[in-house]
Amino acid sequence: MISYLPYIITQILNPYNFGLMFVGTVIGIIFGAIPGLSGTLAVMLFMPITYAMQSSTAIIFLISLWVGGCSGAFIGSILLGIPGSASSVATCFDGYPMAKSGKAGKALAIGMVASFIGTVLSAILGALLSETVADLAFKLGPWEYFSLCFLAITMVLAISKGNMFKGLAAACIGLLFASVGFSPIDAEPRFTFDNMYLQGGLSMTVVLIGVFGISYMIHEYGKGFDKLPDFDTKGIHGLGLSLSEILSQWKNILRSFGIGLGIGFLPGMGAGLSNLVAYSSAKNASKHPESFGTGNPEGVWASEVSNNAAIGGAMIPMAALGIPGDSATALLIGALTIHGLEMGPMVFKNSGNIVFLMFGTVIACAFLTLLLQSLGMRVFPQVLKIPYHYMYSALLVISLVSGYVESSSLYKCGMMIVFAVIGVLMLIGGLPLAPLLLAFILGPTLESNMLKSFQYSETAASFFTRPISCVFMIIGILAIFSPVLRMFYGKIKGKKA
Amino acid sequence: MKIKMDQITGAVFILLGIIVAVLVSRFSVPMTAKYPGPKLLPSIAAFGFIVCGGGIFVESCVNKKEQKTVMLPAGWIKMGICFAVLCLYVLLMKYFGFLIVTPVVLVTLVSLFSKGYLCSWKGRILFSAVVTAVIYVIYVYAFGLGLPAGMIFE
Repeated sequence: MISYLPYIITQILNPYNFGLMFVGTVIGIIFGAIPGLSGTLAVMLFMPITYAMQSSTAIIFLISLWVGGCSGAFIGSILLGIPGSASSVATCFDGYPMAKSGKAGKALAIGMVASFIGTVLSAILGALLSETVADLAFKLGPWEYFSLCFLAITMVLAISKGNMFKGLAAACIGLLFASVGFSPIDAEPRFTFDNMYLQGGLSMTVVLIGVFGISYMIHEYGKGFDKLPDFDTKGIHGLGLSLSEILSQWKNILRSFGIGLGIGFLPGMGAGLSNLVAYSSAKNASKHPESFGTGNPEGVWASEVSNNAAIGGAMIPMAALGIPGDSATALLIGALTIHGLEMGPMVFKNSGNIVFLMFGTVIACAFLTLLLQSLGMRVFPQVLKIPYHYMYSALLVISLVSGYVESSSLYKCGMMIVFAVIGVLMLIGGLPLAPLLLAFILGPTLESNMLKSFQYSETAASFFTRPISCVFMIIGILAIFSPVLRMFYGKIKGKKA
Repeated sequence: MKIKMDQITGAVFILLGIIVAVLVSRFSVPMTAKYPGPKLLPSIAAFGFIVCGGGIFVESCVNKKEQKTVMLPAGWIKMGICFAVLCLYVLLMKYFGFLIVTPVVLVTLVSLFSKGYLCSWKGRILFSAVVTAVIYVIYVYAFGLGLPAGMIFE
């Protein structure tokens, strides 16, 4: 790993790469701060422009968008009480009451420092652990990879709010989209309808920007835009946080970091869950649990450390196994594949420099984000006041242009609009979008490993006769039935009470 | 009896599942217990659609609660207009290219989106011109990517 250090430093300090990292971080923070947008959406929208870049430059740019997005999400949570993204839902619980009681500056400073600590420590640990995990992954066969993909999809279902059937249906749409084109191994054309644009399968950019980006903006327009927020930035100045204040939170920081890293590592889970778990854990461990929800800084620390710790956690399975830890890493895997980098254990042998460049970029972005947010503490909140009619108009055009540049074909833009219609219908039907994303991206890996398993063992029982695969399969099946199990558990508990 | 949105969603999924199942049955490689082949993944999707569609439908019928109106008729019209503008944008770009069509579409979108908000015509036009120029410079000059030039100019 140390041998790659000169390469990492030269790549990051290259003026072009550094410039892109700066731009990416700023865009990421803006996307993260605005409720409804996120770092993941920024990665989706700007992915096509990286196709013309070198792999290392593309990685630096995409990761800066992601890290910026994760680190900027607390701005909306603290100032508006509306989470910038799912990763900072718990930040609202105490961050917003702090802002309302005139401590917005303190809450933002905690958000910045906590994000920085979570990101840097998790990236360092991720870099140290991922190669070991990759070495272990060499022992895994297609059975284990299939069951891991299965687990990742079902875990998202288990944590998706609302109706379980809707979550499963959304995952099935993802699997159907993943089926389009020539099948793996047998090369059977599926749902191509003799259309040459469909033979190679559906483009990730087209599906994701259509379903997640365009659909969201048009749905918001249909519903009617919310009123622009009103908040005061006069009390915000300087970092306003002493070292002793940070050190006084060391137990909370360590606990939240462990939760974030662990949940981020689990396939299919990520910052969206870790911040809630860390928050409730901090509340349970606190001497003043009653003060949580009224503006207790411990709550902001817990949420922000854990959601950023999930970054490094999610990168471990992404690099070592080729299995995404969350939606953003699922996208990064897709983007890296386009650049000829197949994530998984072999990547350490073939392109180890690129893997460690990813971790190095996360650390560099964390420093840059801290610096940018400290200097622009009163500027970044202003992005929340950008009128929707300007912001969404520009984003809609950028979305369609992204579809075009991928293959220089306007046909793809047309397809993007079709997928946007599907996305809008899903939003109206109350279907969660995260299971679709994961199923669509993991679909090809899931299918090819499943078919390979059948070729080797000629029976489905082999998924349960191999111990690791069996464990993943059982957890995955339990995750599917978790709402039913929770309902029964609730009933039994109710009867006992 | 008023039909609930979830009942429609459930019925659509059941129908979708049946359509997918019919299409899958036409694949040439057979599905066997020893090797399921290319039929398995879409069959899982089809099965899932039917089961989940049924589940959503039944749950909605059993649940006595009134479902909130998710989108008012005016909202559907607004979304329809927005989609029409985007379709027209793609179509016109084919003939007139990015640089001519984009400012016009941006002015249209801003005008649509800004109903009820304060937004001057001068601001809309200036915004559209600047955004078009910025996108063009970034994509074409900074990253060397091509944008539609328009058939009539080629």
